[in-house]
This record gives sequence, structure tokens and C-alpha cells, in this order.
Amino acid sequence: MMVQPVLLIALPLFFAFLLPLISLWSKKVLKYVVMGVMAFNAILAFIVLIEALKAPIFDIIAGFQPPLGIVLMVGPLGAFIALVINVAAFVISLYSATVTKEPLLKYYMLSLLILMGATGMVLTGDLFNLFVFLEVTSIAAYGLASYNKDRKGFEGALKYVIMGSIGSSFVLIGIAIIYAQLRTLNMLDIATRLGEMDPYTKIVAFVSLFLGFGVEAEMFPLNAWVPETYDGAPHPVSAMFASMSAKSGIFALARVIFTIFAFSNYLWFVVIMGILTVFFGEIIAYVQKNIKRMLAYSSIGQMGMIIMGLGIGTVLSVQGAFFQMFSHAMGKALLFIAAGYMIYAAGTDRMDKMKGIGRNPLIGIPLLIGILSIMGMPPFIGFYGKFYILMGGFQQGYYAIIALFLAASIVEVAYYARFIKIAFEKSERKYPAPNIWVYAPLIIFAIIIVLFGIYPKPVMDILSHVAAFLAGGA
Amino acid sequence: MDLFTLVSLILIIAMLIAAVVAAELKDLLSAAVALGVVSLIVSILFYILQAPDVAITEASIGAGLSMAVLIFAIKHTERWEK
Amino acid sequence: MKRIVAAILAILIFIVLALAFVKIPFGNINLSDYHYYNPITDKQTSDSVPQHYLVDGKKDTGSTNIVTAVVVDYRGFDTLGEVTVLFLAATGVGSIMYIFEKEKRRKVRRANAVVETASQLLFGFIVLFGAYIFVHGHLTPGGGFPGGAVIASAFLLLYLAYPRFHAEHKTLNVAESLAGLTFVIAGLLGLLISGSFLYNFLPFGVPTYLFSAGIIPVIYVAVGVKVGSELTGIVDAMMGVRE
Repeated sequence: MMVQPVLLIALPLFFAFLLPLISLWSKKVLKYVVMGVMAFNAILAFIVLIEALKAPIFDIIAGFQPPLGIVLMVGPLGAFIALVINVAAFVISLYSATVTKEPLLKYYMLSLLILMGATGMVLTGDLFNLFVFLEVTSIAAYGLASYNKDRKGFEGALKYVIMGSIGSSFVLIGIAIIYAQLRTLNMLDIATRLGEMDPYTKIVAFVSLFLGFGVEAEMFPLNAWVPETYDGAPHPVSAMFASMSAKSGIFALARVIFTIFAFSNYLWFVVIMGILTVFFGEIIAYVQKNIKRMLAYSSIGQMGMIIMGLGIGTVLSVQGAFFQMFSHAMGKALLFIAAGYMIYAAGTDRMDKMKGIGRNPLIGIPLLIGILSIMGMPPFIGFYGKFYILMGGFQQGYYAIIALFLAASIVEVAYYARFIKIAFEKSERKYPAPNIWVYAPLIIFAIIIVLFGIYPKPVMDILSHVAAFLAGGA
Repeated sequence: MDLFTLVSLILIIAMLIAAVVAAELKDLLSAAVALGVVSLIVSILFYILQAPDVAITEASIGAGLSMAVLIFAIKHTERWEK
Repeated sequence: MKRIVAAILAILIFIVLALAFVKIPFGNINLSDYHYYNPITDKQTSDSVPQHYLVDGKKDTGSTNIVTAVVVDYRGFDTLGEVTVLFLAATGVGSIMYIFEKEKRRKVRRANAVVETASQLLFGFIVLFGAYIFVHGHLTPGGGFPGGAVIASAFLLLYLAYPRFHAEHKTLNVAESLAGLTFVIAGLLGLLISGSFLYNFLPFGVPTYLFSAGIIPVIYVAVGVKVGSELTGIVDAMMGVRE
């Protein structure tokens, strides 16, 4: 039987509504229920991916043909990113077992719904539906960001709320302009009839959508919320932001650029935004002393690389961008989980107080793998993304951009190397041993990073569909 | 200029004034009430644009509930903006 | 200085957007100028999407109120999403306000007798009106969101009149969970019966009758209950009253 992609959205939603009833019966089982749902969802996403590789799936909702009704448009790339998001969500849900602060029920509901929103943003083929899922993702993220209920958490969440709601308003304005001109909301329908739009309105709509999704994708002038929010959120939530909501935001951006507008002559604009984001992130990350802030700025830098890869716009560079989404989702989630343990073990978030924390092999080896992968070292998955983006840049002749990109990468290597040195230094200090909920997710992520680093062929096979995506397909 | 345009213009200008007042006032309680006025005028505009269901929603959520939530928030914190 | 820059920026954004909106036709335009393209069957159709809603809406969905037909049936998935957004907002507020749990209630003055009696009298009527709005969502203007909001405003009246009043939190949670589950299960049943999520699988009946339009009234009742209990929950959380 064919698995319909809508189940990926309906299942977390169903259990999010069911959790309050389960909690009346027993509060202890909640975390296992959430883990089970997310694991099952990841399996479903895998099946959907296999189906989508044969042919893009169009899942018609409510039985009305598009553009009358809503349709889910699941191509191989969308299904791939959905699988990445779901796997990351499952592994992070293991680490969520270390969260003890009440109200746990709300925490688990919000984490199921952020998964549902992020998956929906990736799968949908309808512009307004994309906005609805953007709202679901970002409002769940606001709730999770302030979950710690301390000063840092509230500050980060408030910044995120302000930036995020301005972004959502811009998305809504863009959608309103498009609908008023074309009277349709289906992405492919819009793409076919875009020529009927007035050129000025078209630019305004594009810029509105681009800026709106740019907030979620951590693009340069709109990412002031990132460091505070990542720093103030609970540790599993920081990992969720890096691997789920940011990924769905960037995929929505790719949808806007390629599927809807199919721009080819304005893409230099995207490249410049990307390189600015890279520089902003990497250079500020270099001077950070707080580990989570450093990771947050590094995350901005990585998202900038993805935006750049999308902007260069050749098949190779977009393949690189998608590979980078995968490697960043895995690597940064690993690093945030490790950072969470280190902050707990060292009792502080300052990096210079963490001497020798990586000498415990259960932490140290995954940490090393994660950092090397994010730096872009060859045997790990982080290498392929950067490599293909660079190759794409060479193809297009963006030599200055490539030089800047490499310079930013060197800065990145420098600050991660500094952190490695601190973490593996000899030290007298004894740190508490991690429990299974900490090292199990670390090891799973590390295995994924090494496995697909040594054998990237399955991922490359999926990414060979990029050409169809660039041509405006699913 | 027909009646429809005239009424809409008056309402829109009143709405703008209320919005600016809400942004400028130092007394947050009055600012919340001004926001409620904005919502009320928006709901009237929805009604004359023939969207009665949106008008009902806007009137009860915008002018009623969200104003109440704001006022409760002010009660928990401070009334005067520094 | 900051204020001037902000004002200039706001005016600039306004001008840019206004220039875009000027180009958009408003009011009575010829809807048949537009046509749409079906990406699955790869066919152009002669009428536009809004025209199709207006002409064939009643036949497609069985609902007399075309707005409801669009909101619950054609674009029901969006409504499910919007319901979830509200659910999230309530959950988020509940999560944030949890900290005030052990805070002692301040002394409050009672409202006077006129307010108390009048709100007691009005409460039932307002709830009845809200229920009317969402039960008749497929026949008359209104639906789950307005109805739920009206019900929540009835509870707000009680909160204002009786400072010590608070709704039973567990009941609210159970109500909103059950309503949400109803919506999702209705969708899943559609998937099971006809292979597409949220399919309107019940018989349409005769339009303009209360029992018509298939699953639309069911969903709207669920949405009404859900929105009402969620908004009440938000107000309750803001009042700082806890179970």
C-alpha cells in the first residue's frame, strides 16, 4: 500500500492532540510516546522518499483538484529534506528525555508540533498552506524558546517573536499580492502564469516572500534573533532550531526562488545575501566565548553557505546546498547536544572553563566527528556540501565569491580548532559521566555522519534530481 | 464621491489616528484601549466590505479578548512606559 | 533620531507596497478573465478559481455559505493548520505562565451587584449565540472561529465580574483535545474511505437544511468548541489562576 505524505503531518498532529489525554492517565509514558511517534514518522518519511524517487507524489487534500484545493507536492528533494528533519527530530527526542523542567506535557506537545510544521513546510505545494505551516513552526518555536523561563530565555524568545512576526507579515503580504493578481495559490499554477503579473508587483511579491522566509532561514540582516534565541533555549530546542525550523525555512526559500519565481537574472542578489550571511556568522563566531552563542553564529554562517549555493544556481551548487542542509542538520544537532552536556557538566557556558571535557571517549569522539564534519573535512558529510558549492561557483565564474567563501571557511576552522584544543587539553578536573540519553543521540548522529561521509552515493542519487527541481518541477 | 467611499475614508482616518495614538501613548492601559478601537474600526470595515463572519471574529477577538489579555498583562507588570 | 529613521522607513515600506497594491483591481472585475492551470492533469481551464467557488461551490460541498465551503472544505487543511496555531498559542501561554503557579492570589475587590447579576444573566445568552454561530456555520455567516471567540468572550465576562472565578483547567484541556482529535479523525476517515485526507465522506443532504453539507457541521462544531476552550484557556492563564 502506498503511504500518503499527508500522514507525515497528520500523525504528529493527532498525537499532539492526544497527549493531554494520555497525561491524565500517566505522565511518565509521555516521552516514550513522543519518541515512538517520531521514530514511526521517520520510517514513514523513508517510505515516502522511496515512493517519491519513482515519481513526484501529488497528494490531493479533500478531493478537490488543484488549484481549487490544497495539494501536497512531494518531489525527491522535498521527501529527502522531510526525512532529514524527521530523523533529526527522533534523535533529538531521545536527548529531550533529559529535560526535567515542568510543564513537560507542553514541552512534548510543542516539540511534536514543531516537527509537524517543519515537515508540512517542506511537503506542501500550496503557497498559503506554506504560510500556515510557517506559522505553526514559528509559534511552536516561540513557545519552546522561552521554555526555560529565565531572563535569557525570555529575551531570546521576545526577539524571535518580533522578528518572526514581521517576517510572517511580509510573507502574508507577498501571498496577498500574488493571489490578488493571479487568483490562485497553487505553486505550479503560479509558476506557469507568472508572466501575466505586472513586473513591479512581481518584484515586490518576490522580495516580500524572500525577506519573510529569510527570517526563518537566518539570512543576514534578519538574523539578530539567532544568538539570543539559541542561547536562551533549552539545549534540545537549540538542536531542533538548527536542524528543523531553519531547514524548513531554507527549503521554503528554495521553493520561492526556483519553483515559484524561477528567477535566473536576479540570483546574484541571493548570492550576495548568502556571502554576507557567511561573513557575519563566521567572523562574530570567532570572538565568542560562550559555546552556544558560538555554535549559533556558526549556524548562521552555514545557513549563509546554503543560501549562497542556492543563489549560484547551477545544478552542482544546488546539489551542494542540499547536501549542506543534510550535513548541517546532523552536525549542528550533534554539536548542540554535546554543548548541552558540556554546559551541564562544566556548570558554565564559557568555553575556557571546559578544559579536558572531551577526554571522555563517549563525548569526545562524536564531538570530534561533528566538528570535523562542520569544518568540511573529507571523510565526513560536511565535505561534500562545501565542495559542490565551490565547484558550482567555479562553473559560474564567481571567483571573488569563492575566495571570500574560502576565507570564511578558514575562520571557521580556526575557531573550531581552538575549541578542540580546549576540549581535549589535559586537565585535572573530573566531569560527571553522561547518561544514556546524552551519548546515544550523539553516537547515532556520529554514525550517520561517518556512514554517509564514506559512502555518499545514496544521497548523491537522490540529489541527482536537482536538475528537475531547478527546472521548476516538484 | 459616494457614501461608501466617504464612510470608508472617515473610518480609515479614524483607525490611523487610533493606531498612532496607541503607539505614542506612555500610558499602556490607554494604549491597549486605543488598540481595541483600531480593531473595532477594522471590524466595521470588514462588515461594510461584506465579510460579516470576519467582522464577528475581529470584533470579539480583536476588540474583546486581545484587549483583555493586554490589560491582564499590564496588571501583572507596569502601567507606565519608561 | 531613532524615531525619525523608523518613521521614514515605515513610510518607504508603505509607498513600495501601496504602489504594488494600486496595480491590483478592486471591486467588480470580470472574473472570467482569469483561468487556471491544473498541474496534475496539465490542463488549462476556462474559469477562474473564485468563479468556480461561486458557481460550483454548493454542488461540490453541499454548503449554502460559500465562505464556509472554502474555509472548511476546499481549503480545510489550512483550517486544520490555523486551529493548530491557536492550540500552539494556548500551549505556549500555558507553558510560559506556569511559573506563577505558586504565587499567592492578591486580594481583590468584588464587582458590584449590578455587574454580577447582569453577567450571570447574559452568560447563557452569549454562549447560546456562539453555539448558534458555529452550528449554523454552513448556512449563515460565521463559523467555528467567530462562534468560539464569542463563547470565550462570555467566559471573559465571568472573569471580569467575578475576580475569583476560574474555569476548570482539566476540563478545558480535555475539551480542546477531544475537539482537535475529532477534526483529525474526520480527516483520517476521509483518507480511509476515499483516499484523500479531509474528504467530505458524509452525504450532503438538502442544502439550506441544518443537517446538510456532510462533515462541514461536524468539523465546525469541533472547531467552535476548540477555539472557545483555547481562548478561555489563554484568558485563564493570563489571569494567573491555576488548577
